[in-house]
Amino acid sequence: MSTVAIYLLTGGLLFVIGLHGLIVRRSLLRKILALNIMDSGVFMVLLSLAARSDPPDPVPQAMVLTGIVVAVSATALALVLLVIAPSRYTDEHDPNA
Amino acid sequence: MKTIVNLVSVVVLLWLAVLAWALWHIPLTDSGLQTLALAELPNSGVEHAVTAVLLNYRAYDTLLEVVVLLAAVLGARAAGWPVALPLNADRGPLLPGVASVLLPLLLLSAVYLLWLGKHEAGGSFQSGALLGAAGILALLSAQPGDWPVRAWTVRVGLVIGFSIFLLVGVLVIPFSGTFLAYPFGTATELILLIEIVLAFSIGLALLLLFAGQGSVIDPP
Repeated sequence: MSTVAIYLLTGGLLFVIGLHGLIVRRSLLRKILALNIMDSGVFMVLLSLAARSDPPDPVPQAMVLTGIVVAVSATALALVLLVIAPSRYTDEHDPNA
Repeated sequence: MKTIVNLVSVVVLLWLAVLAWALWHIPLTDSGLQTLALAELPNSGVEHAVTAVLLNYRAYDTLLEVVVLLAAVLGARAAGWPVALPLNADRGPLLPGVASVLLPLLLLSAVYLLWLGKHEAGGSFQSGALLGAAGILALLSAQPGDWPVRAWTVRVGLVIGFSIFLLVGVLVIPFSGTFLAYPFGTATELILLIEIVLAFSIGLALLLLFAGQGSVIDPP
């Protein structure tokens, strides 16, 4: 089993761990964190694909850089909504609200 | 609830199996893009392959990526993200002292990273991230009224990166025939111009996502 294969499979594992957290956890902050773990899994897969050749393929590396910025934007917007939502909306069916 | 959690675990494990199978069967050979990217590097205007991909070969991606960042700022604003961050009037002597040492270093590093993008790992996004961090530090250590910034300058600063990028992309059409395809021999200068304005806009966008517009503009 090559190093690249180990990184590829670990990326897949990270993605699935994040997916599990996204579905199972109820807290919105944990869901946002889970989404970020999924992101890391995808980035890891892309970076391992870049590392297949020597020197590494710059195209997946640039895509990861793009992905990081998109992930930061999405996370920031999600956090803003997370902070703002409870003061604006209440869920009358949620006993914890 | 317990059964649902178990069901989710089963589905997720199945998904892991599918994913592992798919990843296992990816051929561990060169995709061919790398050879092409490196072969065209002398014509790209920069010496680092990742920068060449980001700002020349696939500049369209980067252009839209800036739009995503801008959309996040607009979304936060539309959601009513705090008009102004509550500044702590009693912040003690440590924070301004640390800020006065760190801010010049941060700004210097940001400019260095921006310049480094031409031949090493670096560029506008790394530089913009540092600028955003510097802005947050400056904001947290500021007194109310320390930031005499007009609202329109913030708006201009936010969109200048995207606007210049788009303008360059359109203006090169008569010379090269394609959107965002830089004419031969001008790529270095155009990429540098785009990177400088992008870094500034990205830093400001990150700062506004953290703090909200009211924190950085002069109170009326």
